[in-house]
Amino acid sequence: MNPAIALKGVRKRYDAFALHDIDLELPTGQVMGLVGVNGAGKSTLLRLLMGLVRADGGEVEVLGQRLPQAQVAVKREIGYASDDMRLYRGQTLRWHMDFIRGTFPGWDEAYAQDLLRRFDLREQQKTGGFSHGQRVKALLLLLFARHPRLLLLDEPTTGLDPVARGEVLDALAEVLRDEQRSVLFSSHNTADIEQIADSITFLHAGGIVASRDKESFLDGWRRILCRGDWVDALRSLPGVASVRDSAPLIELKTGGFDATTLPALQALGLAVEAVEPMTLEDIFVTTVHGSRSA
Amino acid sequence: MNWSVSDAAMVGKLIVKDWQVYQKQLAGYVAGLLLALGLVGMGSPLLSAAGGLLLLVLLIVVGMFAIASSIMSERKEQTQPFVMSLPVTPMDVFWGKLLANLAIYLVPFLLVTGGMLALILGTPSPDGSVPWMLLIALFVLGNFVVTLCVAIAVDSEGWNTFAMLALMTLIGPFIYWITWMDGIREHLKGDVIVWSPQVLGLIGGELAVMAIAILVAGWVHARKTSFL
Amino acid sequence: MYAQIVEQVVAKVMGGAWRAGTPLPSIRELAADCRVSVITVKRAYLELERAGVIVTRQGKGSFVADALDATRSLAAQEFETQLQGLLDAARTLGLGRRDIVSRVEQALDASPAHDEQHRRTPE
Repeated sequence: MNPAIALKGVRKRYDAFALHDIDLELPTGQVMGLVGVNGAGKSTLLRLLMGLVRADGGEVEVLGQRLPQAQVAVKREIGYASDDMRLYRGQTLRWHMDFIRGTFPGWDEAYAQDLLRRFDLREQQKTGGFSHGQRVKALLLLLFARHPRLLLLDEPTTGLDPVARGEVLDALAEVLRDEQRSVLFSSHNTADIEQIADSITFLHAGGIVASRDKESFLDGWRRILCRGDWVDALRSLPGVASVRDSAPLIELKTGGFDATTLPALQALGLAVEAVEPMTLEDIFVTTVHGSRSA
Repeated sequence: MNWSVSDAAMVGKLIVKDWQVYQKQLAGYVAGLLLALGLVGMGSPLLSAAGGLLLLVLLIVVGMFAIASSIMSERKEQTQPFVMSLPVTPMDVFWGKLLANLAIYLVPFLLVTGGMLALILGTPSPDGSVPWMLLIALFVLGNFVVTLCVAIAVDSEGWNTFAMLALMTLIGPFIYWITWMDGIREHLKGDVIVWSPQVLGLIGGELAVMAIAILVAGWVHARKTSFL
Repeated sequence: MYAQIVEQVVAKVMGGAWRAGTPLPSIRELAADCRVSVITVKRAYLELERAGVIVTRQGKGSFVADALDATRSLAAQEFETQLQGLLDAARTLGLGRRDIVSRVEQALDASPAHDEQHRRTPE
């Protein structure tokens, strides 16, 4: 079975920014979450997968076909939504729905009506009058109702109120039922990624910092509180992202937690008080701070 | 380079889409054009000159408006990602924009040109001015096509505005030039339509300019690496 | 995250809503219903199987294990977890072995339910 997405050595250069050495694979039927600060390259990556932007080098393969050569066949089966996408202000949502229905295969009118209700949208309203949240929901409705094989979503829940966010996650969860459908989405709401992603890819400064399945990724990160004297060797322990002296304790955050970590700390003369897992948000912030001061 | 269209039906849908999105604004301008045509038709020399001028201005404005509406606003309103996320190639979008705008423009253009022709041939006005009028009409159309091609090919609003204004300023000198040209001047006030070699040459030149503009714009568009 | 799924399944089993032999929802079904990732449910099912709460038959899916074994092993697991927690907390407090034992005895004496059970079995 072809992976939903396969990127090899992809690069793209802009004036002030460059995406480099991107090797990424998304197996069919999986959900991948893209994490990174603004400007790390998440949107560029998604645009490359859509053919909105052409790579300078490397191979881009989506749903088993090469881009940009097969872009029409590929785009027919992809749903893309991003924050900088707008609808035609003077046209109603219904006009957009009819346009999509006539352009793509697989439009499910019954499901579309269901989504209208759940997303609390009026189809006869002109899209120019939509608030940010309504616009995001409208864009998502237009693509969910087509049941596309691959969804590429750039910040689908950002800026949504909790009710709307819940509805979007519900609709996304529906996609999980079908093992032939895959999702790649970027989000600042790390809680969303923690909840619904099978794998996590961490982008920073145009490169991939980490790309692993969520459980083993989270398993590798721990916040450890120890008691003892500060030792400089602490910083050079494998995977250590931050060490903080909050006397009388020392707080250590590491991304390389395994069976050797605690013994290594004890060997340095420290007594381990507590070992806690870290939330994705904490991991994200720690990693970014770590790379900034490096 | 691949000039072909991936799916003609898809291009058709893009054209219909442009029609539907911009039809209301267009209706207003067509109404204005019909009014001006009526003024010209009234026959009195002062009114016809004013009417003729109004027509020319309106034709130009319609052109600029059509371009501004569909292409530049597609960029400003950020509906480009929506269009590019449809199952289309960049060349599909190119042909869609080109044909949609030409079609939108040809409606008022043919109305006006046809109307002027009818007026000249049907009224006491000298029939010899037909080639002269046709040359001006083709020049205005050529202006439109070149401006359209610049708009499709180039993403900068500044350059588009510059191109539009620059071409507009050429209309006056062009009219002056052909009014005094040998092969045209002497037949203006006559009642016989003469297709002199100068006239034919100019017509050929105008058509060639349009074709070249389309070719260059298509080539530039196909080489783009970003369609945002 | 997978712990919540494990808890939910355990609650259903312990509460009797899911009897022995009841087929569990497919991993994807449960993922979609609970709005969590497929991998989380997979992990939860793995943990449940390890705890003896469910059994997975190749090609047929997962089923609730035999009732008695399930509740027993769950309770046993719970006991182990709490015991470890007790020892960890005791260490933090700096309690020695003898202190721990005497505190446990104090708690046993104070707890009426335990007294009842204690009385039922002859000493």
